[in-house]
Amino acid sequence: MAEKRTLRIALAGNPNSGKTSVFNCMTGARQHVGNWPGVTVERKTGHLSHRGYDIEVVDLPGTYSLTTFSVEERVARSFVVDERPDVVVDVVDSGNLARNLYLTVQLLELGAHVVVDLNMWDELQASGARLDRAKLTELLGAPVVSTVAQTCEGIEELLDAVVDLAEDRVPRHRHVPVSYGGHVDDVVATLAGAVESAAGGREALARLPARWVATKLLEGDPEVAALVAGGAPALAAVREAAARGIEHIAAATGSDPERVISEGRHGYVAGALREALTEATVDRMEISRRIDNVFTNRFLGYPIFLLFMWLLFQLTFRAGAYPMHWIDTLVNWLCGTVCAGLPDSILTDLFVDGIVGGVGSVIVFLPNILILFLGISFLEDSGYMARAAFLMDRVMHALGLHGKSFIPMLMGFGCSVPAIMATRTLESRRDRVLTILLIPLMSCSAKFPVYLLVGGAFFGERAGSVVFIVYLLGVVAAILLGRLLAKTMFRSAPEPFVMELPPYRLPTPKGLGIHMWERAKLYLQKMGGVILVASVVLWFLGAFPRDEGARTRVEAEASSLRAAGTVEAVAQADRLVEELDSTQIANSFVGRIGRTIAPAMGPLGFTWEMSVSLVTGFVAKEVIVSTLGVLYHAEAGPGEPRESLSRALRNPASGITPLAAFAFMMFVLLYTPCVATVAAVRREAGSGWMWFSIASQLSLAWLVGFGVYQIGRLAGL
Amino acid sequence: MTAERRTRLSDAQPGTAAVVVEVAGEGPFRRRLLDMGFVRGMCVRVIKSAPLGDPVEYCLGGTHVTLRKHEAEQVVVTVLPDAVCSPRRRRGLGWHHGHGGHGPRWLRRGRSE
Repeated sequence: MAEKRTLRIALAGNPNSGKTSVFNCMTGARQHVGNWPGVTVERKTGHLSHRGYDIEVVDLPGTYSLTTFSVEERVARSFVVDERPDVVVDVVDSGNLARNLYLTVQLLELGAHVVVDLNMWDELQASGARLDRAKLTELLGAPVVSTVAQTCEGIEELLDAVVDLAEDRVPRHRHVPVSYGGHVDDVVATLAGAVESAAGGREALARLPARWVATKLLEGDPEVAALVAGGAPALAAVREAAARGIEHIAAATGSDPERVISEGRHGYVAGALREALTEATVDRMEISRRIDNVFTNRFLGYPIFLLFMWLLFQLTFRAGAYPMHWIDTLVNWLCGTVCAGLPDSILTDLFVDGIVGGVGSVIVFLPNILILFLGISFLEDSGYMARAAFLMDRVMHALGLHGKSFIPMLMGFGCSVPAIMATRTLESRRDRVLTILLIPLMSCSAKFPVYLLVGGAFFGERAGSVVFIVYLLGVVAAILLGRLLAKTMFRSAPEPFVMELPPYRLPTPKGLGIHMWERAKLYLQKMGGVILVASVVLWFLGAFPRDEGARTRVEAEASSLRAAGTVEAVAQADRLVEELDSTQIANSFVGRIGRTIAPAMGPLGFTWEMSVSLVTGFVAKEVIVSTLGVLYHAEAGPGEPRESLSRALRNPASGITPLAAFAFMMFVLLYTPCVATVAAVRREAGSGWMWFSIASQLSLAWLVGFGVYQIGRLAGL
Repeated sequence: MTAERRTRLSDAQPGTAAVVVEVAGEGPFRRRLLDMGFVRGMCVRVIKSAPLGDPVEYCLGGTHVTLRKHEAEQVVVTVLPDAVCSPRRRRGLGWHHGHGGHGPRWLRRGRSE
């Protein structure tokens, strides 16, 4: 028995090959979701034990090929090359062997120890096709097993094959070289010879199969080209041989190596399948095509799509409001029983307002995230997501985006945090980052109370139209910014819309559950901490410095007034406390920041109170309303606090004109989102893009606010 | 045997079938199409375009993929006169001229879509 008891295996495969299901079957919920170093491509790892082996499973990004054109393919390839996993399990969609085995061939060419897993084996059998697995094993030179990952059938056998291969109990794959045609094969052989002579003493080159390096050099692969860069004569000889080879191939075939080599691989697969496969008699897309006759129908497609989107939105944000309310009640109740017993002190304030408030602001998003990802997983696993992208691509392409960006953008109207997390459904990093930058422009539901207050105060009956215009301008801003960014910073990487429409399938509860749990964990672990700390820090900035002397004095005075019991005395006491709160916030660090930036906000027509409220709005947008309430001495207590605040704002003494109010609404729409969103942006796009997002939105908000106010004034509004 | 005409995939109408000649252009996009199986000899059926006219759904070797119009412009094809991918052609590489017209029923239905 071998002494090595731990194995490291990688899962490779095409998108839609059921790779994730295989991964879930292998590891259950024992998964760790993180990112690949340096890139925000999701990296999932898991552990399992099988026949006494401790096996670490790394889920590679789903790819069709192993070029260097996309981050996903680079990540997958460099893992196989650099980390040398003991075994690479290539998950293959049995219903689509011709295309899936193309990746298998590339993994074999790369010299990986491959186990080919024919997944969705049941579908192949149901289709009437017959596949000779022994024959395919022989032809590919790699063990071939079959699984049905939806029910976790065959996973044990797959793991047996993995262990056998890792322990050399089956013949290691004998490399059956792909033939690219006579002329090309000669060129590849010559070049591979040159590579081999150059490889001596060069570790990076020596560990790669020479033939693979040769084909990659002919294809013009930049990463492999970098391996043979340098002044050494042997390397120069390789480069020269490669250049001659490309010319030779062009002369002999009238085509370029990239195409010839790709055709060679496809031909190799087609040849193997001709021998091992008896074609299906039933088309597995038949049912899907019938469903699509309705779902992507010219007339019915959009109404059905909108209905699904409406349902998803309502479920996430309407139905999600109930658990949010319960959480809120529970937290308040817990706090009510616990906090009541605490002495009146700064520490109590820190605990109640800072920490409990902070924890509250973290978990309050959880119901939304859970429901949204349940919905999104359902759409993805069922196959409808691809249809949605198909329907919406025309519209989203106008913004320089992919059709799949629509759902995250739409969810942005509810809350940016789950919406930004939802961008993980997008395959390319370019689309993901661009979508993340645009999502905050979709006016989230927390901004609505601000519009309601300001709009209601200054535009009376026309408030509805004004608020609608604000929402609309958010969309317009997203379109313009999207087009601008797509033409400037994101021009370099045009992602082709080559998307597969997989057959419709019924999602499994297990798959949905794992996906949902994954997101919740990711949110709590990776963003929760940041949001919590930021909330406490912001609370601190709002609560300090405090004038304890004044507070004790006022509270003593207020309680003696209340003790007097007359209506006037109680009112006087309330006024005193209000005065104190107002002074407190104005003198706090937040207040000072607000007042410091107030001159910069002057050209937008904002008062210093508005500036302060914008700073506190960084905690959460609805806080703007309560800050304005405190600063403008809205009467607290029962009744209609909003009505009284509304009156206070409208009062000419407030110094706010309707024009400034509109500029303010635009500013709130566009400026830096709340701390939770910023944490989400950092998590999903990285720190660089987080700062870009903050800076660009602040500038945009200021410019638009400035434009609105100054042009309005010139127009005499 | 009927004469076949060479055209761009974007010009092929829904319900027709065509055989890939080559993918023009260069870079990531061309490479992606090559990797997906848009190589010489593969038969492509045009299923339908999205309600707004773009993108278009194609069937290639048994899978359904979508391409934007300007992407499909890069694919040079010869349109098959009988609008049918025979199983031999569907597998690609080594299809026969003039074969067809009697594939399975679902293959022929493409015309009415």
